[in-house]
Amino acid sequence: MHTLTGAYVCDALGADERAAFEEHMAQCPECAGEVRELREVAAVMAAAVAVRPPDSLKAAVDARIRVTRQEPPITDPRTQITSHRRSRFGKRAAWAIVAALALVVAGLGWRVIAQQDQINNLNAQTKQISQLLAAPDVASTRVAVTGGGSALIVDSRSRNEAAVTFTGVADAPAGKTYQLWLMTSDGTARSVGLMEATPNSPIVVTGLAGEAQVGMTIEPSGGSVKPTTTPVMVAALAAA
Amino acid sequence: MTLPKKTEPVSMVPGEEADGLDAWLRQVSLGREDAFDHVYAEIAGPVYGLATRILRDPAQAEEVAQEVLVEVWRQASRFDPARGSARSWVLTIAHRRAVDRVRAEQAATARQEKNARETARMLPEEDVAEAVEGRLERQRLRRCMGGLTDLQRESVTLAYYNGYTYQQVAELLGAPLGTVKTRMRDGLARLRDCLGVGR
Repeated sequence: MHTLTGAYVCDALGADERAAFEEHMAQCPECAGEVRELREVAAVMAAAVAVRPPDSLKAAVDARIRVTRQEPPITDPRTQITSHRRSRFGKRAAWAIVAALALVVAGLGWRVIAQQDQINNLNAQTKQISQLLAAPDVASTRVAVTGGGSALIVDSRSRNEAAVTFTGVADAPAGKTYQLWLMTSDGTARSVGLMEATPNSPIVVTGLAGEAQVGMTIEPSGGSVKPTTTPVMVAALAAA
Repeated sequence: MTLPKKTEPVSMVPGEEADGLDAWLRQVSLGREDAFDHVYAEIAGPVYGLATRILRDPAQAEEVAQEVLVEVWRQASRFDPARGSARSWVLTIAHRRAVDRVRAEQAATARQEKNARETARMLPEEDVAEAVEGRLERQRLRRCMGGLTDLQRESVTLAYYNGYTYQQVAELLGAPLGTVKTRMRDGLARLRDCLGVGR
């Protein structure tokens, strides 16, 4: 166990080994001390690759901390032991959901500062997404978007809901808009709605009716009744 | 409930420059947004640079950096100076977030794997932060890296800068698992002694 300190500090352990090592470390002050020392080395390695971040980062962080509550200090030392939460649906899905939630929060941060009267809607959306993530049959998948970036789809059959978030997806071309669709297995599509030019807020889709897929097309501004172009993204609804 | 925003953080200025970040972080735990500006100024570059190094994709790196920095704000009260420097606390969070993102994506394309070995040798690039102090530290790191065996250096850098598991590193280097594990540990330990940190 003790020889794993280096790999642990480099985050080179898989999830199970990481958890096992952390358990061991809680009983092994010597390991904890070594980890503390080696982490200072890792910090030097990190600082050595520092890059000036884009200004957009500062703006985004500032906007978010303004609406983010700080954790209180830990007063009971027993609660300092890291809990090893076990995911029911696999670490990948669990991670994807954490990422989805982070994106939701990011989306909220942006929007809250933009428009005070959206807060209620956003609160409702956050609650909806939290409930979706807590559903026992929640599933997630990530698919590539044509033209770059990816979409993360989280859905639950029992709730008949899905949430879609996008990462690194380019703006819709001028005069065009992204439109989201639910598609049945026989190819019928119904519109879920239009999306902003840069799809960086999560979309919550409610009232799923057993559709097999969710898809996104580029449509003329104002949207279309039916998809008129090849979808840039199609994902199977895992819970369907 | 917010404190009046101060443009110039005159009061409670941290004493020593060396633990500036530690002191500012304590101020952040009291809810001071202006103190967070100082934390940001010191650590955003390393956080973003590290995320960029591991994830490659600038958009994803920015997302991860944003998550990490908000986490620092949120968890500031949980920082315990007895368990290491503020810098290592923040960068531990950053590294883990970036690596977890890589694993979640599990898009280890062939191209990335091919680039990995070259990256391991390239280390650290020149296009980095401008602080003189940082430059000296970087030079020292490069010198200390030169004192490692090839296997130590490649094990440490492939894991740390590329986000590989030690099993993946062993595969890439064609070395036994146990050896790679040990090299990561003694490689880092040798760097610690050479850099004179952590003791």
